[in-house]
Amino acid sequence: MIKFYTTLLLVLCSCTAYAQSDFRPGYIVNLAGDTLSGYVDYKESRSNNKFCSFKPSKESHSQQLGVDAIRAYGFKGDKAYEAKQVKTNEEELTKAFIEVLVKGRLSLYLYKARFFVEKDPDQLLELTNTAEEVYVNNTRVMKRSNEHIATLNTLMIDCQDQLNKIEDVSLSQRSLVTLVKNYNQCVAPEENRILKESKKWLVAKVGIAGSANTENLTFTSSDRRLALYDHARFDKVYYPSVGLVLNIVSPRLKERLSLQTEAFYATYDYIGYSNYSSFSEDVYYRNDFALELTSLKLNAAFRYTFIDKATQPYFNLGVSNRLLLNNTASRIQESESGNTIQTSKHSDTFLNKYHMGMMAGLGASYQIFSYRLFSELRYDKGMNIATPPEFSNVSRSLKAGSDTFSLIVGLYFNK
Amino acid sequence: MKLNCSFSLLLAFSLATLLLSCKAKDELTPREYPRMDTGEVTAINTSGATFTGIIRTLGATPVSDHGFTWSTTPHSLVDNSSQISLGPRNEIGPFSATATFAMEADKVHYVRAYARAGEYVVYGPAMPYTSKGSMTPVITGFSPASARRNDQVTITGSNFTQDLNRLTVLFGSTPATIVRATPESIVCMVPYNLQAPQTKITVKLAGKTATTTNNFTLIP
Repeated sequence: MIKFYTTLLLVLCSCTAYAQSDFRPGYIVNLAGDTLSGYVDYKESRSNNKFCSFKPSKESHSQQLGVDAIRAYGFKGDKAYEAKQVKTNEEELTKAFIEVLVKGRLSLYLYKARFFVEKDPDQLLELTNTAEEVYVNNTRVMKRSNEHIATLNTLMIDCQDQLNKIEDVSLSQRSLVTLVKNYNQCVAPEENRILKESKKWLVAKVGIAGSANTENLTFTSSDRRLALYDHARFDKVYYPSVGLVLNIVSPRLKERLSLQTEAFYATYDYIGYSNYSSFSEDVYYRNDFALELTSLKLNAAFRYTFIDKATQPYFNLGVSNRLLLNNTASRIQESESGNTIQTSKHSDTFLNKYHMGMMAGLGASYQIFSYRLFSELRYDKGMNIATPPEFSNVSRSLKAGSDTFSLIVGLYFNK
Repeated sequence: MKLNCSFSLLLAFSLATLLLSCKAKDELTPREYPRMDTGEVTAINTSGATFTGIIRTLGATPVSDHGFTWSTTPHSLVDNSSQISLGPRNEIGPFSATATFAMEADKVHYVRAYARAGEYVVYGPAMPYTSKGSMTPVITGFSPASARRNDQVTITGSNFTQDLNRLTVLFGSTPATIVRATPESIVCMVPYNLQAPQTKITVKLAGKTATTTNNFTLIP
């Protein structure tokens, strides 16, 4: 346990050091319309819509600039924001920094998962597509307003080539960026500017990993018939596992948020002990459990990575799915009555072949040549892991879970 | 630079933990009594079968006797079932014995290894097997040669059993009450309703029969 706390401390220290700020080369446009180069704090939170932290040089102090202090800000070769009047969901007008996705004859903006277009100055129009449930011949169907198609048709009427493509456009960033980009290319290619164009829509990182795990099982039940399991105490096990990891990220949309998927293979044995008395208390039972397990763990988690530098701390939050490929359980029971001990052998498999859990992890990755090494400390809580077959009707009263701490080390084959 | 150093430390620590992680050693929860296991039954033939057992752990007190007990039910007990006693033993490990008596052909039997230690009698799990039979009981003598009704008579020989329920003793055709028995001797009572002055004594066990060559004489 000390090992884990030490590791946790190390990881936390790294994260704390990195989680503070990430000033990248950028610019601001002041109210007079002058562009000032410097460094802007790179964030992927909603605070981007309220203010930016800017400093003229790396060494100088930063200042927070709100929507009333500057017209726009951005990052070199990356995203940019402009101060605009937008309607809130409550139909109130507010001034906010909205993200520029495409700049040109027709500009495309993003604000809190809502898309806006602007053709004429200060004529910001929201693209909407509301859904409504309606009944047609007693069948419930979703009816979509497709107002965004009407809006885009009106705005793109001067490019006939694009009109037939509008019908298929969805309210997604990729779809709209492509459409608006092509429209600008059609009507005014010299004004066309695509933000974050150098960033890929989708990047998949494949890697291998190994982990050292410590795990224990817990069983509790208030039902007397489940005394065998309620009193079961299993020794903590230590086992290694190996696996494949796949990290999918969309740098164009959110470069810090990614989907982590994994498959880990492990084989390990449990021994356990349970003792209890019969209802009439004239027989005392002692049980030794032996479990031989081979598991394939399929995990899926959201990963938030802290900054874009050589060493990147991150944390994961997701679900684990354990499939027991081998689930052999044997039990030796000794029944003591008077001075007579009778031994019997049982092979009652009570662990579920499939069970789910929740997991959270803290780690860091480090770029080395064209690879990325990573190390992570993880906690996994397995739930409803057992259903004793002979008591399936009362097994709901059995609280069976597992607690797993893992130390994972791995390597992504690409950066 | 400091941060890269932290990462290196973390990585090195992780790798060390990964390499040093190992499976926990299997250790059973200790008991006050010895723990027994019954092994496979081998060499099953018309003369009997060979039993195997294991003393898995020793308890707080020494094993004063160990062996096997068997019958046609899974819950045979040393005091009233067929039994082979191998005496004291104070080490863990396997043991075996060949049984030549009290087994009926083509019938499922159950054998259990056992050990006595202090006040405990510990039985291993019942191991089922289908017998091919066992040796015929042999009577080598009996005494006294003459006795009154309800007197005790001791029959000596081999391939008898401790299991009184499976053993039958007849004086002529009149069944006798058996007091106690071992594989080598049977103590029974002269039937209270025996009429014939001269009878042969017959022992029946597991479908096989042995009869004395000499007559028993009833003292009126």
